[in-house]
Amino acid sequence: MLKIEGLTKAYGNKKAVDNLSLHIQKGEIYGFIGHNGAGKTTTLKSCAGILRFDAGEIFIDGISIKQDPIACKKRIAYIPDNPDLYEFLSGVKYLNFIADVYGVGKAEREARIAKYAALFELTGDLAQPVNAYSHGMKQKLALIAALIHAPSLMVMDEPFVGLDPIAAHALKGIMHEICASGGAIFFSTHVLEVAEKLCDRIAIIRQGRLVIAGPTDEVRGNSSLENVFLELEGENA
Amino acid sequence: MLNALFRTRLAALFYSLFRGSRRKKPLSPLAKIGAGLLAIYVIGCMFWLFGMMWESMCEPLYRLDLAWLYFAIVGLTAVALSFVGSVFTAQKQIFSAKDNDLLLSMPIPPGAIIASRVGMLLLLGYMFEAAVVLPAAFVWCYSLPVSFAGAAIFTVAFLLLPLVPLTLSCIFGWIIEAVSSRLPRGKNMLAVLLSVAFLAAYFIVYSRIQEYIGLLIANGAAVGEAVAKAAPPFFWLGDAIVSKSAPSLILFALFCILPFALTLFVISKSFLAIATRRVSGTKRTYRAEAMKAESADRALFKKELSHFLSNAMYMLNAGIGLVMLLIGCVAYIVKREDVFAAFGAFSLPEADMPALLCVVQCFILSMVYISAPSISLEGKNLWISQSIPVPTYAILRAKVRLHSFSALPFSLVSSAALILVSGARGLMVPVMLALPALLCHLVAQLGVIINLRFPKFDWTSEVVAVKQSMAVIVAMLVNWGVLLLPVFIYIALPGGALTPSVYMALWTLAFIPANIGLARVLRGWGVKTFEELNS
Repeated sequence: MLKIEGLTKAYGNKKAVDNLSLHIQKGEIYGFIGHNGAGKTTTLKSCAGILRFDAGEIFIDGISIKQDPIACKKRIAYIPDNPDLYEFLSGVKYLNFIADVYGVGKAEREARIAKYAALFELTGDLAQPVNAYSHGMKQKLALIAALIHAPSLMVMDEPFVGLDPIAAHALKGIMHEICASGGAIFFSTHVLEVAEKLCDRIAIIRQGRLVIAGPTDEVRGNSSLENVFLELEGENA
Repeated sequence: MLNALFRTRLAALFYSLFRGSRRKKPLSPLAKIGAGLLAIYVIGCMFWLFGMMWESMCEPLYRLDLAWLYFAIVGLTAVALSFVGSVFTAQKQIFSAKDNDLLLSMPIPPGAIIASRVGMLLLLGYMFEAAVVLPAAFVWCYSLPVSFAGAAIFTVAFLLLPLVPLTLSCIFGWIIEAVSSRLPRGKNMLAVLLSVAFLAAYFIVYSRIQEYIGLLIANGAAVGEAVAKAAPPFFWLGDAIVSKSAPSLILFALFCILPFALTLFVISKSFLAIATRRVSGTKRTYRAEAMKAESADRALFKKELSHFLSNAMYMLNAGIGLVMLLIGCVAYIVKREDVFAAFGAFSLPEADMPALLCVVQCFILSMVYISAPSISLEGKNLWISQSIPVPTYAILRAKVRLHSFSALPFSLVSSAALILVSGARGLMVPVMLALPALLCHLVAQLGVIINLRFPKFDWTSEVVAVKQSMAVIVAMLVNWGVLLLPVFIYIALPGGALTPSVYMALWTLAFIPANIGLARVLRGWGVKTFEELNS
């Protein structure tokens, strides 16, 4: 579903991501873990086609994001770490804008907006301007917008931040649904307990370089993910 | 603490003017020289305009023994200009700044936050006042004898004066914020209509300024008495300078300082409540309605239009040329003879008047800069445009279209009016229709290109992107260059080499490849640059 090969991205002289390779299969929930500034957001933005990278390749469903970014973007949905949305639009206008640019038909968008807005308990607030939304409401709106075109790959940067427990539970259900229907999830998180319980595979990144990647059980071994992460950080310090 | 806050605001102002967020480095020396020259030009124009006005009334009022009235009028003008220039900025900077929450979360008293912002506005007020008062001081020194005491009182009085418009701006900004937070719908249009009404009044007054000055001098004593009665602080101002009167100076100082201090106190007390208030108390509940699917191009255009219409400050500043164009056209239709007389200064035969009118129309259209801040206004939302599955050029084209489609109707209507009333014939008719229209599109494309070169995403208020960014300054400069260069070339041509209509027809034709060329720049360099932008 998502293949990252030798991804390298530098900001000036500093390499944010250095020769990173990952392979996310269909049906997988893949957790991406690392300390602040490790290169997670740079990797996720590169996968979403937002950031141009210096070397390497990213393939989505076998399509190169460099060669055909639009075809790749149609397959994915990206949720940034901060839900900065168009504050001058109402919630429903924002969703319609996203549906239009993704070419979602009238019936599908009506059904999906109704379904996900109800799931995230945002239906009553859709007429409100986005600038009246709380952080959590913006995060929910960003999630509904991401789901409106039924993506086969979701790339999410800290998607649980700001969500209430009900919405977080709903999101976990949606992540499993997407995977069950042949899609995949690639997301970053600092909440290691969530990653441990939710992810099929986990990758840990440090200073732009991949430290370890594999099935969650293998990465964790007999310890907890937190202990593994702290040990790896200590070894590499 | 206050010092640190003020330094931060000052740094933000200079950063917004002289640094782009993409490159994270200062402007090149050449760009700084360009910006400096532009500043000198603008300041020079303002000094010249006000200098001419003051020169025509300084000595006559002195002869009438009404020298105080000269300073009173200078003071009133400075207050009016500063107020108009800072009222919307005050509202945005004090109550709607994006860093209000951050600062309020810190152990900083609201009073210090207000004081730092008001300090910046005071600096802005001094800049506006300087445009009025410095030429007045120059004319005063040049025309009349000036004593040291008079000069000292003048300096003190005019250092205090900006507190008056600042007080008014804070109060009106506060009212605008308090009212607008309860009026979520239609408030932008209301603000635009009020501003347009003000602008129309300004133009009417300015077009008759010589008449008013004549009346003022002819009826000096009566006018002086009326001003002294209606606005005694301005009598105290003039009297303090002319008579070196300490009581008048003290009264004037109290008039400036006391309301300002009181306003600052009241706003500090209510700042927390206003700055943290939600947009509206009346929540609209969503009811599912049938939706409509549209093309991506249309959706992008509607998004740009919604952004433009959602912000009165953006509409007013970037679209001011359109309003001026309409007012100018109405004035021309109603006062055709006066306009012809005013243009008589150009010593052109009447047959060439349509050409001159077309140039003036183009000049006004070149002041429209809707597209110039459109990239910067993406701000933190840039990720949306960069992650959606549409060609990057479609995103840039939507920004160009917003500008072109907004300006084109005004351009065509004003062209039609000018053709009809000026009696344009033959080749001039298509030229008067096509040249301004092509200019609109050219300026729209240039705006996006320039903003791609000078993007600014780290603003805390959209005011910074719309009014204080390098992209807007450069766009205005380039737009005028695009217009003035052909004018200078024509002036440099040997007399009678080309008739105005033929020359302007060639100019119109030249705009066609220029527009095509800019579209290619947008498709190539523009697309690549946008894709590499990082907010």
